[in-house]
Amino acid sequence: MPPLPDSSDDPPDKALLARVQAGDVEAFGPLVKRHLPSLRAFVALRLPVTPLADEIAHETLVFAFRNIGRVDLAQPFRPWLRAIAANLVLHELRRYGREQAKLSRFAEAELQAWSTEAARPASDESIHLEQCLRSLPENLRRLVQERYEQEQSTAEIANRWGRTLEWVRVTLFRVRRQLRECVELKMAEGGYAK
Amino acid sequence: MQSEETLTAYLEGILPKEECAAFEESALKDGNLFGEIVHQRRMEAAMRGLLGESQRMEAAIMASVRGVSDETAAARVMTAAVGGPTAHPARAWRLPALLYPALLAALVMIGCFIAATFWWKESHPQFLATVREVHHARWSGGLALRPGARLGSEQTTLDAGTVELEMQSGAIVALEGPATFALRDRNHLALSSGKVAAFVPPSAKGFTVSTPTSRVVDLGTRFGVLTDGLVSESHVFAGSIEVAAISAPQPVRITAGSAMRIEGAVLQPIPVNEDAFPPTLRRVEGLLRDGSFEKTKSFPATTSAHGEWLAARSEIVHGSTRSVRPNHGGSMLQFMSGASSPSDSGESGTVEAAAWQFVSLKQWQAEIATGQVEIVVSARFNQVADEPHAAMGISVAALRAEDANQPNPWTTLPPERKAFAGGECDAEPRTWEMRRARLKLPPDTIAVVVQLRAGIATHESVARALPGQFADSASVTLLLPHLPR
Repeated sequence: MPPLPDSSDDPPDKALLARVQAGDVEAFGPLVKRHLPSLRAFVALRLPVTPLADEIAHETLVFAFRNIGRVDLAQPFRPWLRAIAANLVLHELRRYGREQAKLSRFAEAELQAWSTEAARPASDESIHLEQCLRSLPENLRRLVQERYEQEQSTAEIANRWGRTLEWVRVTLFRVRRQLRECVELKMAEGGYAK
Repeated sequence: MQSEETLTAYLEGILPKEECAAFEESALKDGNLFGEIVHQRRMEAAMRGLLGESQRMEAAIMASVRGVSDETAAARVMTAAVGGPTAHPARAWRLPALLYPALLAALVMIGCFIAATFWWKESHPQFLATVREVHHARWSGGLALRPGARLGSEQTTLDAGTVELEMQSGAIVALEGPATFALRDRNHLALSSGKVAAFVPPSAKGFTVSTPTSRVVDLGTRFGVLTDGLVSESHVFAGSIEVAAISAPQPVRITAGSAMRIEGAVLQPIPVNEDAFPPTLRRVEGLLRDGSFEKTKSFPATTSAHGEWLAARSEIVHGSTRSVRPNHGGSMLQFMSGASSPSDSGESGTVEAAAWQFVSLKQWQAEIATGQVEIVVSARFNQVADEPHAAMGISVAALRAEDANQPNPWTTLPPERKAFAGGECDAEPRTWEMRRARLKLPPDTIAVVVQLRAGIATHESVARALPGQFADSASVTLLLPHLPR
């Protein structure tokens, strides 16, 4: 799993941003590494189509670099990234809606649901998700890692674990539901993630 | 509420199509179920984003960032050199004459700096190719490249689907997944494994594809290369290439219609197979009306109508005729006996029958004017057993405006405007033989005429000629180049 943001011994965002503002392009690398996973998750929660979400995460970071001079070093970097990403997601959803002339009724309903979600203010959901993942029991965390980090198929996991395909699918389904409930609880508690 | 098994099968994409539609209908009526689907998909995508491999994406972002940095630096140099907005009003003053040499030297230095900057950018481009089209593409490492995305020199893996790139040189490259490749420079692609086909306009001559075992250099052409990392093949569809084994770098030139297999230092000729590669030319199909003779009831008397079959000594027959069944649908063309007529070559004593159709190409004049458009015509032929064998085939002729009133373009057009594919069919009426002709259209072509014909040289009564020859499933495909944008 990726390290929690700001939990490593790397220089803090502020120091790296100052170097980038002074012209050190390579100092942007550690910032990308640090924030990309969370940013991808943030975008995917609003636009759950992995290729599109990844492209928007890419665009977000490039936009941030282009406008790095505007960053206020006294403010945290992550909310600014999320604000950029949220705008790009809204723009992408509008474009997608315009271009897809013949969506099925179901796809239209899904698009509407994503648009509603994307219109909400940028939140800390992705950070909560990271924390919820860490709170999973060891065996479930391992299952999630095999599926999403190591990109193993359900058949491979079933084979390795000596379980049926249905068991793997249903267990992953329940884990995703559990994670969602955990995230919603943290959001309801109003805890501001670091 | 649907069972968890059904819901998870749906989310996994393994629910049968008909059940899928019914499931979605029920989800639209059940808000809880619909909400569960939406949340499951969000969570699934978020975990892929959070946990999935991201190193390649990081590299791609940093490549973009460095490109932005270079653009900014170049813009700063330009502003400094050619004069950006002045901060203060210009004052009227004269430079002391003694400072003129110093000013000149400074200007020369600035000029050199600008030239060096542009030389560096030209010879070290950050982006080497642009994605033009993607079809069901799935990339490794969390990449998501859509049309307009730019590629640098990083190694890239296309897991599935096809993608078309435009190299900075103008070469058009089609890759079919699974394929792993890297762009070495603006006119060089290194293919570790997979298939690539290239369309190389004159501006990109010298485009190179290297594999672990070979190096292919274009000499103005269309070609394809495939490799599994140990063995590679080079197929030339048009023009010519030079191919060399890495372990024996003396290149061999191969031309259109040829192919070479390279294993170690051994180069072995093999049959060319264009169908094995992703297309580098845009295909326009369905140009021939009623290629299977299902709708045409009779042949009109006119000789120049576009978009309909015309014929001489041929008829449309329905159902099985003399033990030959139509190749497609319920009808086919039967060539009939008739009077002796001179053939194209002027040979006498040949009985010929034909059906032909004019196809207007005015819609594609811009592409045809480039001289890069090709046309492929094909049809299937058959004949009954135990009868003299007739030569049957398909012809295509490229017509100019001045050919419109020619009574017989086949005899007046020069060879480079015509193509023919044909020969004798086997004696097995259950099999249909495919004949396919290909022609590069001259830039002044406005239409083509496609002809299916059968001919037999006979010393016997002409009434015995063409006792049972058939054609069916004719088609015309236009292959248009992807013009650099």
